[in-house]
Amino acid sequence: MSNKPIFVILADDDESDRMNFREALEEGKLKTTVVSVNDGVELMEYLLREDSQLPTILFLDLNMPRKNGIECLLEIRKSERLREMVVAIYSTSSSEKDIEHTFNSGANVYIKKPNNFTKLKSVLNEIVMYVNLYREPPFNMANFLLKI
Amino acid sequence: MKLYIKYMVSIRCKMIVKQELEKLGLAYGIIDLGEVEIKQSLESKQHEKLKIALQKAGLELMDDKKAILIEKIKNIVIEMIHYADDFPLQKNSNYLSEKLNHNYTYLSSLFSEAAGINLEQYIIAHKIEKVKELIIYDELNLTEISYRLGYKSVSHLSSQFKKITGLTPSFFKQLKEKRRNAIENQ
Repeated sequence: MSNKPIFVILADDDESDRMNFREALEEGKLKTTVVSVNDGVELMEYLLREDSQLPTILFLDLNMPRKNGIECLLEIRKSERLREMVVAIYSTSSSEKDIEHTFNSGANVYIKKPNNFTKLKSVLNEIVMYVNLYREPPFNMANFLLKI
Repeated sequence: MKLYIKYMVSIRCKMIVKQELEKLGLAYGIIDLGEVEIKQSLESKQHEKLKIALQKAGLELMDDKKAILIEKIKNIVIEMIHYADDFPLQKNSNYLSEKLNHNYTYLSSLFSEAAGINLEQYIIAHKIEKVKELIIYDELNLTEISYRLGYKSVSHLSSQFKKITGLTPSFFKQLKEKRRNAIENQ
């Protein structure tokens, strides 16, 4: 029984998306703590600090200024400390190419941003529920792959 | 022993629990949200006192019986899917209620209250996890996997897999291979 809040980071440059995201999770059943950053540089600065608290799941937008999602993802998978982190791609694109490319680069989840709030809420909360489940054995985080 | 507390969601709840434990003179270990480890076993009087004190703060000390039952449900599901040689032929609901001597409706409502996921979803998630594992081992084909995990047909398995993961089993397999190569060759 893990009733601990789930720590979530969102990297997205769009302010309204960040707000919707936060609200969607707040209205869900499971408790979450959300921290958001504006772009890839800010995200990596936070994650690479040695004393930073690592999230249970990171939501990563693909198109961001300064450093995009793919670059962040590759850096995360290269880092010893961050390698096991669950990364969800959170993007407006739904092209097969992006999906396959991000999965091959080590993403765990691919979400196309839904266009209405109800859908967003159910999608995000479903992911958080599964990620919570996957924290317990015998689940294997490396097998955690979802496309929603 | 471990105590399970419902509705414990913030640092403030932790502080309240800590205070109450200290008042009762109980030695405790780690206080987590929802779970507290205490050093000795509780006498029923102490249990009752703690329960009442927590109730005032809006927290609910879960019955040991219930907490244990939930653990048992989890263990049976895991055992049945991951370790048993033969998947039970009965329906999951009958199997669980027979093993635990409780009716399934009761079990499933208790489970979803405490675990944040409903029992059926929990079982399905475990089955899909096992399917992934078996796909990666590459010893059984999908038909054999579906038989092994009690699916009616391959298409039933495939559609459930797609519904949960968004991917088809064959895409998953392809992806795992490519992904392993890509990450190892970096």
